[in-house]
Amino acid sequence: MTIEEFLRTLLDEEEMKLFCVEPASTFNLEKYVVLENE
Amino acid sequence: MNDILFETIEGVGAAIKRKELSPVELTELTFKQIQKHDPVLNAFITVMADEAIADAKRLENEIRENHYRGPLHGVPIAVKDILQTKGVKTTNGSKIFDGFIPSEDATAVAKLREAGAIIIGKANLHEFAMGATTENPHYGNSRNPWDLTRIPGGSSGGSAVLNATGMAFGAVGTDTAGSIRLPAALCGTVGFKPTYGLVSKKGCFSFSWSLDHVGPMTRTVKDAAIMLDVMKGSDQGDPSTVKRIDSVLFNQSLFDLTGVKLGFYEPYMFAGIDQGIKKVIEQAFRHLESLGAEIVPIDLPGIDQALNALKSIAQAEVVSIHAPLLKKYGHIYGDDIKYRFDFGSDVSAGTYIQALRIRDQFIRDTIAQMSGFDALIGPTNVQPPFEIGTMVPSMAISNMFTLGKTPLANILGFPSLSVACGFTEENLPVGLQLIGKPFTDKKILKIGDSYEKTTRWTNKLKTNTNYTQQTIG
Repeated sequence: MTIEEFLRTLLDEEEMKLFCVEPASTFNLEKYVVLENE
Repeated sequence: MNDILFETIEGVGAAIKRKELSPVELTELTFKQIQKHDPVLNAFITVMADEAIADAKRLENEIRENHYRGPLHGVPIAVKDILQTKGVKTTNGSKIFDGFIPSEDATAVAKLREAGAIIIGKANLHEFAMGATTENPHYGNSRNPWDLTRIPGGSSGGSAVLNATGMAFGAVGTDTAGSIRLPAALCGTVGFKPTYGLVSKKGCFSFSWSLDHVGPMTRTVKDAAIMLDVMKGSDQGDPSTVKRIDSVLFNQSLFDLTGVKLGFYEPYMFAGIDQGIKKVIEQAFRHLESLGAEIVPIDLPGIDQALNALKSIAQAEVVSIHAPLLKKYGHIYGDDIKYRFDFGSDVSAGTYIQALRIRDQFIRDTIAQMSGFDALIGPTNVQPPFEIGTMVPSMAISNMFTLGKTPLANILGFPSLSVACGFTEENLPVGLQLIGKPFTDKKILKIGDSYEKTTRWTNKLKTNTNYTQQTIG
């Protein structure tokens, strides 16, 4: 089963609304760098 | 002791390619080693013998038919039990997830399988990857193979133990404040935390999403490059992954380190260091200099605020993830994890946002400070591993900061390598840490490889008789 399906066996509908199964991060280092040549 | 079990991925991979080594025989030998030593070391939560032997047979047939997948083809690899494995229990080190059997592999695991790796089992970890000791109240404590009374480090402790004892050729770990590098150092092996976004976290239970990293744990630096090259890559399932396709593989080791400039910030790197460990690190510095590297003092302005920001970010993100579970199942959490939630203050939205701003400025400042430098250098661990059972929950929260200098690379998101660099007078391993600029993963691996090739501390792993002869006191 997916993790979401598994969590639904543990939590009710209201509790599931609060659960962030796979949080998406906006952190990204690409904006900070210009690649250095090796 | 069978020496082949301590061979590198590079070595066994090449022998399999030449059809001189059978993946089935190698896997069977690995399981013999596991049967012999895991009852004492407790590095696995789940051993996947049947699945692994079936995979080995299939992969051996492919080799016979000249279908070669690459350097991981037929090589036994373990996975920290916080990454999902299709059809195999994935506990996250918690009793709450004891019945979770995923329908899909985590992306990093799927990529390894596609490359021909044989997944042999799920490695023990600190509960939810939230600690540095791998003392797990649900699945038992993993033990350090250099001294069975001590912790192996954590949270990827089982993975490091497996590599150190010939029970796996490599393992997948995760690192939020040092959980790959610290256990690698305390067990005398290699751990690499890639640049943030290089490896997908899809299918990995999150601790702190903006600090979590998935990465390779191995016996040698070159093997870490082999695993990382397969694991990296953009993934629609994880929006934080970057679209870089550059290989991190290298065929030739650097001739020497002439022209390599390493920055050393002593006020942080040597703060709280054990004198025996300091001696080993200073010897490693001298060796790097003898190879041509230049070690120069560097300043890291704002480091204290940045490390405090890491604590706020981790606390805010972990509370937000666990809150619904805690309410109902808090009684099933281990004491140190419960303490973190019971007494660790809830971080306000304002504090969290401020911490993200501090992080942003620190990254900009550090990149500027590192201009002209190839990497930062310092110890991975500054203390020897604790004796098992000596940590109380209130101290457990700060273990990662007491034991090592790893959290710096997590607040930065920069690539960071731990490579074995010697032993204390008590015969406990010490790790040397390199931290590179973003996306210089290959360069850091090459510098580490050059150091390792001329020191060969890894060779000591196969001579370790502490876990083969020592009994638990």
